[in-house]
Amino acid sequence: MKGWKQDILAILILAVVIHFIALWATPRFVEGMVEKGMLTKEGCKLNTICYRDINVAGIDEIPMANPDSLFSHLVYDVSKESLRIHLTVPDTDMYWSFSLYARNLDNYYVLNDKRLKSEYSSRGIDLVLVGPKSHYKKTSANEIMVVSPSDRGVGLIRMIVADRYSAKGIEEMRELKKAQEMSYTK
Amino acid sequence: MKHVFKYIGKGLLIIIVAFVLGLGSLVAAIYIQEKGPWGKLRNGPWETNLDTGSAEAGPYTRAKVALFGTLALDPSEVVYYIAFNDSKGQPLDCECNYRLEGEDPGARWWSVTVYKDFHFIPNDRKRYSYSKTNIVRDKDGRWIVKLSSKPQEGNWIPLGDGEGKLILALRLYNPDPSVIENLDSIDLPSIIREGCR
Repeated sequence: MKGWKQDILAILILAVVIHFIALWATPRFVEGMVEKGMLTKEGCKLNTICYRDINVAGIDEIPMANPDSLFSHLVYDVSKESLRIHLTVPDTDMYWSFSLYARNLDNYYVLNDKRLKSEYSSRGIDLVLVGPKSHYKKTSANEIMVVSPSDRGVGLIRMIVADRYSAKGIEEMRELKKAQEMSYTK
Repeated sequence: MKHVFKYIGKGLLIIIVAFVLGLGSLVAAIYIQEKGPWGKLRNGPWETNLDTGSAEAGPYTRAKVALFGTLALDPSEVVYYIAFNDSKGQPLDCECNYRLEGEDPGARWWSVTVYKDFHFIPNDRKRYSYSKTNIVRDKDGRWIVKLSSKPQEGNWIPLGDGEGKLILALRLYNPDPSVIENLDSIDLPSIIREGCR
């Protein structure tokens, strides 16, 4: 009987440990999968912005993706040096944003088109992404410095397409794709 | 030697049972702590969660968002409403037709998207959503979106063939402050079942 009690106690302790390890690891595991998926796209590499076509059924890898958004993505590693990202907002009134996600998938930074235009009076800006232990200092007032809570993570540029289903929308998408390439890492 | 195998077998059994219990309790905890499959706040058939994408999110919300709302944005940027049921509380079913009826919510831009098993539904029209910038409204500014596997007049999202979990997402980009303050009471589209196959 004593042996059974010990076994049950061992199972319970182990189950609690597994519960919390899985809870901690789930977002990190998913982020790892997201990174892997992003880096396996043709021409994509670490610390470089990749440009993607609009999502259609069958290639929408991310669950519940927004079908009305054009995405560019970035997998970064700022453990050794900071990363300078040049961002350009397309010349439309539609929503645009650049967002950063830490290793645990926390959305720790967002810059949208309205804020960029109102705070920096510009459609383009340099953002310097630094690691949690970096001693980087801003070199100009017109530069945004963002500290990543983790050495690695991902970034996303979202551009809403007004009407992806119409001929006018498809033309607009062509223009947005050109604008996509005006955001890049240096 | 026989004793060694006996102990290894017992140890393995303990580890397997602990794994099942540990992971099972995690799934249960996510569901219970988050008061439902998606959100903490309910508004008719819609559920939402202000912690989505937020650095302040608890570990269970973070795990759930990682799995089902990967790379979601902070609520000041986007409020995500999700529906698994219709307005009468019945689970959404791919075998049925639905009518979404509403008016523009208070946001800079919004869209309503239909998913099956969390992914777009393949269809010839490649139509998965309607939005503020492409929906057809009546003269009072109200709109109807029909969800059906058969062609429909007006705003229509095809449900395709085959089974799966039907899910609706309503995204509000840069929501008005009054939306953030009244997430559980603002007017949102009704989801009305119109018969099943």
